[in-house]
Amino acid sequence: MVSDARTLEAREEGVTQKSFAREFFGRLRHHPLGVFGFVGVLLVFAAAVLAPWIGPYNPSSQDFALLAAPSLAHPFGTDSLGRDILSRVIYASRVELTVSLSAVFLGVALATVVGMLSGYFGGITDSTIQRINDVWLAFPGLILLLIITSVLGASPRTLVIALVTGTIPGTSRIIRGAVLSEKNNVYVEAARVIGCSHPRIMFRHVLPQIVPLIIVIITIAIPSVALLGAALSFLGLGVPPPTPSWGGDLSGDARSYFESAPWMAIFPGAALSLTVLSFNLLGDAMRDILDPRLRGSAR
Amino acid sequence: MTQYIIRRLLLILPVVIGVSLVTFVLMRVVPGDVARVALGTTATEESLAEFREANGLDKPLFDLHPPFGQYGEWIGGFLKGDFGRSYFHGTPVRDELANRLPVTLQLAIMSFFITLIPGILAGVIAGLRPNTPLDLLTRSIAVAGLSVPSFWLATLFILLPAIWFNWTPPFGKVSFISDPVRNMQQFTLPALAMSIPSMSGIVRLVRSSVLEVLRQDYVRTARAKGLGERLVISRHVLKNSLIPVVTVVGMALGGLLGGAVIIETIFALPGVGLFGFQSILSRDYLTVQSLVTLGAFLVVFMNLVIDISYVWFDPRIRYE
Repeated sequence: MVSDARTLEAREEGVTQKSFAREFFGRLRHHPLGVFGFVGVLLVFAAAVLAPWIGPYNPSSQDFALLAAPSLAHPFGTDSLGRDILSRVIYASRVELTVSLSAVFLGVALATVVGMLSGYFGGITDSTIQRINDVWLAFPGLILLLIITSVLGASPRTLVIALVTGTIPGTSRIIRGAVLSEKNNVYVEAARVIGCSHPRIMFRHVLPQIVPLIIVIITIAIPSVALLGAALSFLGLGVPPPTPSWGGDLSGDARSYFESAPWMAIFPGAALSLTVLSFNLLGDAMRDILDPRLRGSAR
Repeated sequence: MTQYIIRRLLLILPVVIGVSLVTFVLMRVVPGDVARVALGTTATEESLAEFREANGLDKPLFDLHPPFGQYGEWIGGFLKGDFGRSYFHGTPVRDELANRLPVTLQLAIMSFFITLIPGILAGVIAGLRPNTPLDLLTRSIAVAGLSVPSFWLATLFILLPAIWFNWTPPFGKVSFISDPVRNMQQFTLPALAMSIPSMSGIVRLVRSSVLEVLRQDYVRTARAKGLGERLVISRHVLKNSLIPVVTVVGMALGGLLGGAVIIETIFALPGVGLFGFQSILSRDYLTVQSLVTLGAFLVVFMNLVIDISYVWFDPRIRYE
């Protein structure tokens, strides 16, 4: 009996997910900028996955042509060590996407748990978590991340830890607010009356209600976390050289060559900007589609 | 209301103390000896010990008896306005910060105006004429501005004039009073690079806020009673749609230090942001602690100012 109900539930979920995806893409067609963003995001993912096949050179191999201007052999030119910039820009998408996406998903997941605990249980759990949040949020902008990365030493892993730390407080506070308003609904009371445990109510009843909010948060977080991570790499506290990264390739010793080889400065920054732009445009369209209250206003 | 303000003011202290504690602990969990970093690898054991003693680094971090360890000693002085000495400059931290504050302050003031004036104007125009070509253009520029990292913009702002006109901002910081022209040559591009992302954010915020307000009943009422469109916009729409801007601007001013780090580093402007960044890298404990704690105070204080100003902007809001 129970298993019957489960399979039925699963089947229904499958159906709604399918039609959700269909509906989403159906709506996306009416957002030309959203389509642009979607294609851009797809291209970045393709670059990351296919880097060894589409990157013309190994990103660390050195050519005798140092600081060569863009040409057929090196479409984006070469850097001060004779490395092909196009290949570096393509390979950099790997570390940038891995770091940004894992930081966002990990950060939002942890923030969801923290925010739900805080909002659902209230009382001393809530006030303890919120006082810690107050302290965390009082750190001026980038400074906490700079301290964390300088303490742990520059590496992609450190970068993820720092970005996750930066994501949790603000996000968990938004989730907490949503849970607070969900908690008073009759369905929560009904679930409690029939004897559901707290974790079950939280994750099976409340969580599905705030999923659209979580998706919106993710769409906003990806571009801003990508920018933040690149800024840390730029300051020498993120992805360390010689790993290709869009932020890191614009910093350090490379800067003294920019005036004689401007392509070294232009292409990594342009790749980063276009990636962030794509995520922003896709995110804008998703917010329009997912949030019926705003529907029609932004179009 | 007075009670509310007093309660909020009292809450500032524990938060700021919390920030200073976290910073204190984080800075000290780093492996490595500050004395070694400060004096270099050639220093003798004797001079290292001397350095530690002179800077109080040989004392326990926390202590239950006066002066309550390194933390107690520092925070006690801090609350009285004595931030301690920088290990690397050997000068009082307060003087070092005071010397650099004008640079960051000027950046902040300039980017405040560069962000707000064009940002609000463009946002209102786009919001009042949604879906016109002008609106689409404004929105496209805004989303592009939001996507371009400020460190790349700043890099291009130095690089392109150098290539095209063989011009670079003059070296050596000059105050506005002694040489306004030279000073502006130094500050305009950094302030612009710092402002473009936040300006783009303001454009989008104001636009959607104007659209939202235009749908409100009181706007319909104002029109229905025969008020001229110009008055509807200026009295009802503008005033209400600018309320969210207060929050964003207040938060941006509070978090100023972060943006200043990047821009001051690229343009080599000797401000508080660059100084803080260098101090973090060189583990100048007392400087970092003092700067971060002051920065946190600014953040929390600005949040309070935002909440209070809401009452003034929106009389429906009441605090108990």
